[in-house]
Amino acid sequence: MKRLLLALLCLSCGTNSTTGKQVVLHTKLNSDLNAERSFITDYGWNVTLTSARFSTGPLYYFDGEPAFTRREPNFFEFLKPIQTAYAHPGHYAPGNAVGQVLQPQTFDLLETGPFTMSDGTGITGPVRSATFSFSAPDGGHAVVVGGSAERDGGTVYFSVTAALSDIERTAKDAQITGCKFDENTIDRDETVLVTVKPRIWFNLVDFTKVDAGTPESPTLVDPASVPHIAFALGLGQLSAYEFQLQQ
Amino acid sequence: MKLKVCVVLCAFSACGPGKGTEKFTTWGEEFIEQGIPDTAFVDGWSVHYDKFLVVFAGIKVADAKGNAGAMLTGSRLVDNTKPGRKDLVTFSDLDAQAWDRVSYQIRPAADGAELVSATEDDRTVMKNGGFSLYVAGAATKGFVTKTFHWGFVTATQYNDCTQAAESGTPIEGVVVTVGGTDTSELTTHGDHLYYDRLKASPDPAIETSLRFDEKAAADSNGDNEITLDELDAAPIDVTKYDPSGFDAPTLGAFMKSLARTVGHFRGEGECTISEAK
Repeated sequence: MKRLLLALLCLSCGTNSTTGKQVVLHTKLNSDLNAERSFITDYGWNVTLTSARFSTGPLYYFDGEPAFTRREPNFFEFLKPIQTAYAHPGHYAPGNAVGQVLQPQTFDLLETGPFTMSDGTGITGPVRSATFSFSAPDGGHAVVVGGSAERDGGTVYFSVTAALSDIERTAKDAQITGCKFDENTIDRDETVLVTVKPRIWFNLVDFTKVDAGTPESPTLVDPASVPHIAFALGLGQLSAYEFQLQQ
Repeated sequence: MKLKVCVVLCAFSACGPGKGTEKFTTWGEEFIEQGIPDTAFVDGWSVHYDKFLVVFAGIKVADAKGNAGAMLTGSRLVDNTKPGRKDLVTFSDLDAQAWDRVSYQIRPAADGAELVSATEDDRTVMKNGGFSLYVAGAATKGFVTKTFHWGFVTATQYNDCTQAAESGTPIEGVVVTVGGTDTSELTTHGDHLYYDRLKASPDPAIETSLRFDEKAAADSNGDNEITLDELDAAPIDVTKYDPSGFDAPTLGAFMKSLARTVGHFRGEGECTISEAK
């Protein structure tokens, strides 16, 4: 943890690190949506999106391997004078920070990407994992998604929103840590491509108990409902976000 | 930390060259030997294991730069329901020093593993199924008993094993002293398979719990034997189970992820885990 904090401090100061030469990391964001903006979830729902707006927070890149099953130290463990590195039931060791993009931005994935994000800073060296995070400009929603879901001849027209507090139930500070960054070596100014996979957001959602709604008046998924809990868990899925250096 | 270890090491070794021994054992603790009591579960179930077969391989000690001091070739098959600590391998003639990097694997043994506290039949089960971990037993709640025979084919690498901070400071790896024998236990935790989260909640008020109600309900044919196929067909209840960022939409996928977390180091010590290559 101390190494991580020192590396981040170094990056934000704009100084050269003793572990690598400083570089600019141009950043682009895209989705894996097809032309129809549709996908089939693990529970068999054929979802077609009509809107998919969300706001990113900081992105961080690390040289540690992506997370396997893991748990991060809890608040009380952080208070201990000497921290344990990891605890039950799993572990993620981010290693050294090698890059970051700090500026929050808002995207609509239904527009044609890839979208250009603010440039980030980094240092030369290997990169293997990343942190994706959400933000909520002006204290509003972090994510607003609408569309339809079909299964067994029935169609549900829905709208679902998520606040940072929804995501934070499963991801501390709405940061999804340990995402896969296709293993590579940063050796000069590079472009990082972030791919967002909305299908993963909906993989745990069962629309059975969501009112059907209409295209003109979709049902707002109740924030206290099971489908909403499932959606919030989906936003926290590591596999919903992939990073790679664009060649 | 490193300085402290060096100071301790020098005190034992008089800062001169010398050799020592590192011995690796395994133990399943009371939960695997005697069972997990109903007080440990939030829904009143208890679990008793008849088999807890583990294939250990690649046990290795290395220095901070990754230079190996010793490594187990082959693999060992252990039934940790058998009482007590079992010897896995002993590395003698190791340089007396801090060996910061201790690692091991729990992985299938394609050509069979050396038996430690398991039977020839156990080895056949593991080899034929391609299993790294196989657990069999029964869960009981009131008058209901559900049996299970679950084989996991996961291959997991446990790296950078760190001793728990029982003394106030976690210690990376092991310290071998001149003429001494240090013992490291590769502990297996039998309760992990029933966790309801794959990582702890950011909210410290939300604890990780042991649950079995949903596994029992997954017994779709009602024969009181819960199979992995039945668990694979059972979606997780998102109000009770948190995949914590991992792709675990079913109870089967959830438990397969948890199966990777049974391996520990010297009791409560931890290792980073990844897919074994």
